[in-house]
Amino acid sequence: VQSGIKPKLSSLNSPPTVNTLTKQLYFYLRTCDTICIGREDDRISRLPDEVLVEILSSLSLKESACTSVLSSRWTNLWKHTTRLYLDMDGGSSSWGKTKHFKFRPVLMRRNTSCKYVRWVDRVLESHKCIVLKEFAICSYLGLQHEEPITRWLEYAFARQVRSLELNLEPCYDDPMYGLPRDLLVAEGSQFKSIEALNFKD
Amino acid sequence: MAAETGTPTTLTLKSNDDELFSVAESAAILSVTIRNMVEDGCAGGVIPLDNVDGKTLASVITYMNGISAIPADEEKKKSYRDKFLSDKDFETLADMVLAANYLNMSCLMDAVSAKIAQVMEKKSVGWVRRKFGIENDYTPEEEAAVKEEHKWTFEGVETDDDN
Repeated sequence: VQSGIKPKLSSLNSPPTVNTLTKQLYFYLRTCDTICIGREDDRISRLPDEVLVEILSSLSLKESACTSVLSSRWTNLWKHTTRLYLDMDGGSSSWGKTKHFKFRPVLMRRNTSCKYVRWVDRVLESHKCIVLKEFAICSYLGLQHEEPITRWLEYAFARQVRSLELNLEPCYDDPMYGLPRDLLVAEGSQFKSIEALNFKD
Repeated sequence: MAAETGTPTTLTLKSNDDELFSVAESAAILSVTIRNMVEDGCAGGVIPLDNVDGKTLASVITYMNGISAIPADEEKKKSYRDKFLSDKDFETLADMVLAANYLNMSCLMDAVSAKIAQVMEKKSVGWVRRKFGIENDYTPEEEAAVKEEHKWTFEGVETDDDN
């Protein structure tokens, strides 16, 4: 059995419902390194963890988290996705669809930014990925939120992030967040190239 | 990678149901699994691919040849991938995603994963369960607890009706 995500066995321990018995039989299938359990016609749930995580990584955060309700097989898979696109809509954008976040012309209140900070902290707290392919922070944040932003960047760098998008727009008179020098020149820093760098007045 | 000899090298791949396929080394090394074998000098004879059946391997080789014939142009490669996957049903996609994972072909893996994910996009939990035949093995209490835990993720997704 592969390490990392443990296969779910609860479906076997619970007595099958009448519905189950009339419709399907359970069966075990052992592939090279993963024990897969599920109904014979439930092909998707029998895919190995790393493949399902790849599939979920193409969905928005919200949608991948929604799959936890499908069945016990899916409870924790979304926590291992390799792309995190954290936008103001609470992770509604999926990677590749909304490559560049557009700021809506709305009057932002400071408490919205605080709510966003709490939300991102919560996502990162429940998320368990070891390596991040892509990470995006898109919000109305500025120097006022230096501490959490730097903390998120450290989180991403600790997971060898390959692509990083930091899309910030401070509200009111809050100055722009600046990338801390320590982070850029730290030993083992992953910065290889910067694709776009925009400064706004 | 055949630059040393100047002539294109051909590899022979064998599926788990004993079908043999010839493929140009330059196309086959899109698979990191195969590339490692080539670099380790283990690709002299027939390369056995124990986790891929003939039907899937034929399809993967079509992809390898197609994508490697396109010069470095990400837009053209993307449209080739979209076209290549457009007529594949879920069973075929599931076979391909397993093969791409085993062969360590990130570009195919990403494309097939995205294609499968597309089916779930903007769909309710009930719809996805029915579509894929996923049995809800939660007790009502367990399901309520999982929903409660993920409450913040459910806004903005369509309600539970067939479409």
